[in-house]
Amino acid sequence: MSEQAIVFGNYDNLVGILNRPRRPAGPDFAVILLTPGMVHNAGPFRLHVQLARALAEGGLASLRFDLSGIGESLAVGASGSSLERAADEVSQAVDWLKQAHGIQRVALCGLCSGADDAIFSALQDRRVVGVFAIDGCGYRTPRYYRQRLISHYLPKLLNPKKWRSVVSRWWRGPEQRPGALQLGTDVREFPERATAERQLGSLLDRGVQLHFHYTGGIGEYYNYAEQFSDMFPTLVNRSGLTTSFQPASDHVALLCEHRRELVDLACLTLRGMAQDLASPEATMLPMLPSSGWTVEPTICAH
Amino acid sequence: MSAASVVGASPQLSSVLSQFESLVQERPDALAVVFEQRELTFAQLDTLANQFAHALRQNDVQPGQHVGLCLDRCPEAIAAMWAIFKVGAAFVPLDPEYPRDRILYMIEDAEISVILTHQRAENSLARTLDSSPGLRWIDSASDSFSRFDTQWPFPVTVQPTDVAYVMYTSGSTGRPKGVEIEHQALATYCQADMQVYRLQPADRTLQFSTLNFDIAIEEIFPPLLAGSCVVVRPSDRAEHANELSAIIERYNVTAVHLATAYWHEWVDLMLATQASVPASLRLVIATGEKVSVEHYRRWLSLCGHDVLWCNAYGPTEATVSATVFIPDEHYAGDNMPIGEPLPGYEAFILDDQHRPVPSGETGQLWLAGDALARGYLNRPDLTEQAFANVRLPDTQCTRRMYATGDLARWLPEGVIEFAGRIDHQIKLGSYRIEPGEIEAVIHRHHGVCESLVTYDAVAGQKYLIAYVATGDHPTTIEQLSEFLRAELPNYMVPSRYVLMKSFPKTINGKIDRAGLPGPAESCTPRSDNYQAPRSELETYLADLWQTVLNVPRVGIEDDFFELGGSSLLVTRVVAELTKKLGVELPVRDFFANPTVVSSARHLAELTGQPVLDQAEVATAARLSRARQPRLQPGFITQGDRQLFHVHYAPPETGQFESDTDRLAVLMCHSLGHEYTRAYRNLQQLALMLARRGHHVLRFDYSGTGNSSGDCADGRLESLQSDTRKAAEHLLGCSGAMRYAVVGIRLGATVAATTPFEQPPERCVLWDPVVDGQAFLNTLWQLHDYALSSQTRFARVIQDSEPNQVFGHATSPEQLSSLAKLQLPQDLSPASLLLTSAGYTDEETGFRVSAGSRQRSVADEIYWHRQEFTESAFSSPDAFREIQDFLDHPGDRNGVSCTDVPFHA
Repeated sequence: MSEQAIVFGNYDNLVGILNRPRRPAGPDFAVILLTPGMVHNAGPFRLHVQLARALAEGGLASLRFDLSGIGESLAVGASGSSLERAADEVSQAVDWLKQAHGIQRVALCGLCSGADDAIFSALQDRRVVGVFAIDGCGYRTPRYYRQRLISHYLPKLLNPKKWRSVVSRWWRGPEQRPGALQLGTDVREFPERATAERQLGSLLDRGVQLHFHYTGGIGEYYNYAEQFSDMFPTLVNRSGLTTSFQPASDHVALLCEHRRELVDLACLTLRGMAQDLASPEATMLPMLPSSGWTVEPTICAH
Repeated sequence: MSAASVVGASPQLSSVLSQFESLVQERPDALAVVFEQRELTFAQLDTLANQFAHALRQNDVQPGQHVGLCLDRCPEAIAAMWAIFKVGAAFVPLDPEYPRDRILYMIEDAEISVILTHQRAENSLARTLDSSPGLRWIDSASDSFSRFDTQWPFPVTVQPTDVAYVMYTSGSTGRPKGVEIEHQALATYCQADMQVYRLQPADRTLQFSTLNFDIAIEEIFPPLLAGSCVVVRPSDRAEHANELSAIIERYNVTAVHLATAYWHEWVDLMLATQASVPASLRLVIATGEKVSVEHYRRWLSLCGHDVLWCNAYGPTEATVSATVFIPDEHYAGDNMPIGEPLPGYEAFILDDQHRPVPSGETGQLWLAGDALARGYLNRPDLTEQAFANVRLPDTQCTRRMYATGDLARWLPEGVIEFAGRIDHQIKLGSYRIEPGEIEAVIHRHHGVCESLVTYDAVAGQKYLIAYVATGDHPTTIEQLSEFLRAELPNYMVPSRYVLMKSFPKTINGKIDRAGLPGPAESCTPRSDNYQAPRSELETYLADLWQTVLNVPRVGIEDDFFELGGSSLLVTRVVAELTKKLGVELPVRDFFANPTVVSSARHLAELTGQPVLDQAEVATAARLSRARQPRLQPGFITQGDRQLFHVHYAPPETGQFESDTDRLAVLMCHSLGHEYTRAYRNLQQLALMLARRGHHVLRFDYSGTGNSSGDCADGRLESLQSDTRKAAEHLLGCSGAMRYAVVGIRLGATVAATTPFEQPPERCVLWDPVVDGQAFLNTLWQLHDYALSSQTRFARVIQDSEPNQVFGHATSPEQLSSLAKLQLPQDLSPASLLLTSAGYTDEETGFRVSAGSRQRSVADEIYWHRQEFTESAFSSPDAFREIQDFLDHPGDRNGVSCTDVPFHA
């Protein structure tokens, strides 16, 4: 394994670290790790560093880099919306990979806003052949609300000190607040549910492999393993799509064991994507059946 | 129409203390105070007050004595007020954020020997007040209070004329003046407040103001005496743009008292976000400044239910509010009156001869009644000027009255309308400023002949202007601003200046105000690279940043983050932009466009205004990049480890000293989550210093950040050897002959203990860890809280793997090694010890040795508090101090220490 710090981009303003395996599993494939929110390229609690090194051990190259204005990458006032700018910079990263190392196909891996960027970038750049999205987009479903009531509100309702305020909040419905004002994080730029379903469908039509992983840290919009199929019923049984749910973990995998589970799952999935590219007819890994999507049994609590 | 309005006679009132104690007996289990997750009943509040009272007695506090109250908003603060009353003493609110001289003056003026405080303020103040060694501190958060009796068997009879508290306000002599409020005044006011605002036991009143304003008095005492509950503003308060609405909704608040400017902002924010007035609210009192009728109309449009809205007026010298106006929903006047006197108050509008002016004509507003202050502490001259015995109109009776200095007139409907200030006292937000106090400080600056401070307003936003006559002395506004910043609270530092050789004079020899240049000719302090805004949008953004960052001036190429901004402050800017421009800006858009010029361009694009074409954008981006430092990331080989680093070299376009002459800078991070919290601050500091010509190297210790290795393997020795290696690399890659180290937290302590081959010429120790074991203890506390609090995880985590602490793997060997770390007792004379607000450490007895320098800054970080473990923080003051120290290590005043204790 070797690591190389690089400066690249149209304005020499983007900073990243290329991690290359000693024995590459495939010559022209790499994983790009996208920054979540305002966290720099090492990832929360070094998640990206661990992931990059685990990928390298499995034979996959990776590039973790900071979007402009985040981490070490300098802001130069590039135009466009956040998602457009991120997609443009992902394309610059792929350009660099191609120019420097002949890599032409990439999978994107991102947490939180990094997941949103990954999907949007995949829609813009056909060189993206896979996405591993952690706590990506989500939409509340009827079952979500039932689950929320049972596991979140009910314990509080049984608490005499809380019942008045809980009932009051329940009647008022979800609190309205501008997303841009979330403290220290980012606007989650989720498209409309139907739009998201259509976009994901188009990626699957194109052969892009998608894995959506959710944690218990985003209980505000996702809280049961099968929610993805309820959110996107037309995507059920689509080839190339898998999901997993890790309810015990928080959003950034604070605990080492949760982080390790996440890294293992991501490596397995991304290696599966790479294998599929190398040999489309090859048998997929057990967690990635060729038809339909499944839930990773070692992590899902259901 | 009578010129005086006597709304209510002043009944003989029992003291607020006896009223409170009666309530404790009558309603022991009723809720008295709510603060975050804590709830105190009247009985529990009284118990806490009793225990504090015992502590005061143990510290020999006697009736009539003044006790300093240096606490943030919290239940302890409220209990402390009652405790001070119980021992017959009076409290004096002290703000630890005020400059040292100002606090010292208050302590000396009020002859304070005991201060009730909490650990954070004590550490901060004790370091500041080294010249007051006789002070005794009582930590309100100490567990030791539990040993005191919960009963108070030493009742003191409070006389109506006993002083309840002393509230300091701005004074015209350059010194603040202490307003003495007696118990009868407080009782009178409380009675009036409860009556007019119809307080009831079911109310939940928000305690929103800091304790140094009289608004806090009306937020605390009347609600409690009405048997209702006080909801103290939570300390973690930046998570919601509409913080006030969120608090009201969360705690079912029914009553709020707001400074008018804040109320205006709140209304605008609700309007911008299409939010409604929270349903629980039934009472809103705006006070402090003239209310905009337009905002009242907007308020009505946001109100879906009945809310008693009041416009209150009153100086501190009349306890809190003296008059109130309650408009109906059809109010259509052009101005919002200040109403009529509260029960127990009297109001008169008199001419210069103390004769009532006819209705509709303007005169000075005088106030009378039992709620008037005793006067100004130790200032009989000022008291005599402001409080006078005036004969009542058409009678032989006289009344003791207070001359408010405000102009007013009676309206035909029998209410009072405010008409401005008689003198030039200035109200900025909630602050009342005597220009003379600022002028007195300006006069202390070398070369100043005369000065005059006034204000101007643009779009309703007031700012101070200082006119300064300097003769032939070559004083600059940057020097003046810097000087005032060190001497005055931020809100009193003028943002604009006009320097003149001499002032124009009237025939009487007074300053001819009319002959002075207009505000448009004033200038603000500027940096060398200042570029003025060129458009309305750029001007708006620059002004907004200036306000949010509290910096003297912002140029269009200034970087928000290099000025010390953080993502927290970005949310404030975004809220303003949402309100003003109707755009919802993702926070990271701001990160990608951190200068005024790029942000303005981006906003124009989002709002559909004409923008540059792609070629022009690319050209602007290239120019922007050229002005920024050169980045050289890489890995340094250190044995079998690879240390990630970034070398920030000065921009090629800059004119700097040669590399060998310039001081290079090495930056040392902390570990764990503190690395993440401070990451952007050090990175932005590196960019700022590189722009100024320094070569800077930021690196990750092995096992941290992007460096190789596992974090569990890190030892003190490896941290030190990594630091040494990084310093060598910096000198090698930069060509510099000398260097400085900037270390934060553990990085500071490691740097201070590393045996360098070539020692750094200067060393900045930013909130250093004093004791390694204490640092680890804090990490364990944060870890345990994360697992057990059910805030991060849905359930309590009881079976997590061992050998990890708050996100990071560790090992017994690592813990043992780090536990040995100690900040050296004898810091290098070339060290700057920089401490932020909220900085505390377990260690005591550490002393800053002679020759080293110490500086406390107002940046709030709070390393030890679990609610901020993932919060970015702003550090504009620290950036300024570090920059000054690296550029001019010997020029700063007031930073050199002579063997003073670092911690109390």
